[in-house]
Amino acid sequence: MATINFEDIEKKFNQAIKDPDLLRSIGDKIIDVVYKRVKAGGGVIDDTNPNTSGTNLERLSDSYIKFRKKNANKLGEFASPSRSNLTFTGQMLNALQSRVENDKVIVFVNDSARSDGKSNRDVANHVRETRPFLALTLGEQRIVQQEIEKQLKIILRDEFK
Amino acid sequence: MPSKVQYKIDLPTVFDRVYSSKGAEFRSIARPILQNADVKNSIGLRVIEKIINRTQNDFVDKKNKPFAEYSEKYKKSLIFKIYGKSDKEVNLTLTGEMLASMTPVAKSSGYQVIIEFVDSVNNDKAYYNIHRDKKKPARDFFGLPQDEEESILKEVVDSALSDEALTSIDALFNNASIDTQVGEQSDGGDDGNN
Repeated sequence: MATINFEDIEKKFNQAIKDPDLLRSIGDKIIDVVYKRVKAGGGVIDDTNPNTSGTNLERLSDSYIKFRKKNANKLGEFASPSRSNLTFTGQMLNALQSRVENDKVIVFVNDSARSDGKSNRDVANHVRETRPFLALTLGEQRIVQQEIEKQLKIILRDEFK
Repeated sequence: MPSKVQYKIDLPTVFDRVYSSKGAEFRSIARPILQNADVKNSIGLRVIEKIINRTQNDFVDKKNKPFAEYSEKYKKSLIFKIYGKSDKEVNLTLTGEMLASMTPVAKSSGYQVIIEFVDSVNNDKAYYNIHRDKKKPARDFFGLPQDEEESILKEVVDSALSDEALTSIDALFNNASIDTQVGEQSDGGDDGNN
């Protein structure tokens, strides 16, 4: 009969949840969730509230729609002149990044330069005033949690082969 | 208004099928375990895991039949493209929220395991998948065949009888957390997206 040492399992478990590769993959998952939700037109009600709900992004103004129609050749992926999904050229959402710091996963908009001379971080900060988007709703947190559990089980299964 | 969607497993019924060959003494010792909250929670979590894996990886319903195909209108929709869906993989997963919102009912009394959805939005999504109307086919993902209920129960009960191994592992998962921060920007960050 096999003997299972549970102190060993607990030790390996606590190591696993700090595994940098795991944390990076969780960062990727969060970016994927936020990116697709925004592209589909979804934002959050309050990006400072950890229990925020989702909402539709505020519609674009008529004047901005006119501007976008004139510049339709610059529109990024899944953008259209009247669609409110935080996408003009697509640079800001493409600048979503994650990093691992002190066993924490941080997701942010990179402070990279854009073709219009602004930085993506500045654009994100401006955009969030009326269309907050960079947070996880409770439902999205459950998706990420599910992914964490899935990855942990793989790691632990490999550890105890 | 869709009604509440629940999947109820009557544990004594499944127990009797699994341990039908065992004597009365064994059954008198083992049966009370079925009322233990941790045991019921373990069973519930395993049931949910099986449902999710089958739905997302095998693309079949609770009777192991392939899900009906997506409509042409849906396949051509923008949302289908944004979420990178494949028309060959009917997996009831767009954002993933519906399947992720299944949960064992925390305080179900007696000898039942009850699985439901944490909120009404996802309950309704599930309802409309399970109870399609004449125009749209049903995609009833919410349940397991008898043999899978039996194997889950046997796995959990056998472990609970041997020691507290299973509940210890589940406790680890329940108490685990990974620190995440979405949206707050701090200076530095040499690592970038490594």
